[in-house]
Amino acid sequence: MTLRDDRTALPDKRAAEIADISQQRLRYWETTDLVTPDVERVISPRNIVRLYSLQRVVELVVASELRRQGISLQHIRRIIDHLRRQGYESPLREVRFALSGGRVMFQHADGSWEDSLHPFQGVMWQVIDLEEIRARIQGRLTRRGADVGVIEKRRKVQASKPVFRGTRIPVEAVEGYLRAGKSTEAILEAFPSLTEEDIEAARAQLTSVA
Amino acid sequence: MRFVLDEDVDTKAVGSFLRQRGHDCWSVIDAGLGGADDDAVAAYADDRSAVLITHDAEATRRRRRFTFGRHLFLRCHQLDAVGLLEPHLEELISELERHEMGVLEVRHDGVKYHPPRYESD
Repeated sequence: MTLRDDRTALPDKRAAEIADISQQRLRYWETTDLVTPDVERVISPRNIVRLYSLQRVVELVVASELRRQGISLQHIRRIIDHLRRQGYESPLREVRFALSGGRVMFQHADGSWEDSLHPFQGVMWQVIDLEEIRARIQGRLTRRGADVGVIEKRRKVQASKPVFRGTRIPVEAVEGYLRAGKSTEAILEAFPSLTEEDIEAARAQLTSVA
Repeated sequence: MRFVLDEDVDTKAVGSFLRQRGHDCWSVIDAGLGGADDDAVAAYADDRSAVLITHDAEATRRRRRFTFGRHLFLRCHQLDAVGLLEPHLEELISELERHEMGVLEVRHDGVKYHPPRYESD
C-alpha cells in the first residue's frame, strides 16, 4: 500500500529507525532546528508525542545520508541557509545532493547544478536520489516480518488483552469474525495491517480453546 | 465531518458507511500509524481536526483522564459497529459539532457524552 504524503505521520521512534539514526540524534536535530516534527503534543512531562510527515522523514534520511558521508552538521546547516536564501523552504527535500570526498553539490529544480559545475565530470560523485529515498521509506512502512503471525500481550495496549504483534488489533476481534464465518479475505479487508499468518494464528488459538 | 478510524475498527465496513453519508474518513493504517500507541493516534487525529473512532476501552479511559480532541468510543464488537452507528449517526454528528473536545461513548442503549475532566493547553 502506498501512503499519501498529506495523510501520513510517523512517530519519532519509527522516523528515527527509517532514517537509521538514534532517537537522541533525532531529538538533537529537533532542538537545533535541523529537522523538526510536524506535530508535537505534550501528554505528560515524560510523554511527548512527536509525529513526522513523509516529507520530513525524507529530510531526515537525506540529512542522515549526508552525515554518513562525512559531511558535518555545521556544513549541512550552511548549505541549508544558503539554499533558503535562494527561496527554498525545505532544501533537504527540494534539491538533489551529490557528494564526493567531503564536497557537496546540489541540483536545482531547473536541472542546473550549483555554480554551474557538472558534478559528473572528472570525479566520481554519489548522488542522493530523492525518488529512491521515497521508495525506500514506503518499503519500510509495513510490519516487520518477524511480527507477522505472532500473538502477544503488551502493557498499556488494549488492557493487556492478546493482540497481533506490531498492531493494536485484539485477537478477540478477529475471533468474532471467524466465529461468524467470515473469510480470511473479508477479515484482511476489515483490518489491512493483518496478514494471512495472523488470521491463521487467531484460528489456531480459537481451535485450541474449543 | 472528518473521521480517523483506529486500527481496531473495521476499516471497510465503517469507512464505507461513513463515506456513503458524505463524511471524509481514513484509517490510521493509511496514515502510517499502524502499531503506534494510542497517544500518537489521538494526537494525529486532533492535528487533522478529525474525530477518532475506536473500540479501545483502555485508550478511551486515558483520553477521559487527559482529553484532547474528539473521540467516538464504540462499545461493541467490531462486527456490530455499523449496526451501532446507524441509528445514532445524526445524534452523534450533532453532539460532535457541539463539542470541541471530549469522548462520546456509543452503546446499544444510547450515546453518552463525557466532557473533558480538565482541558489541555
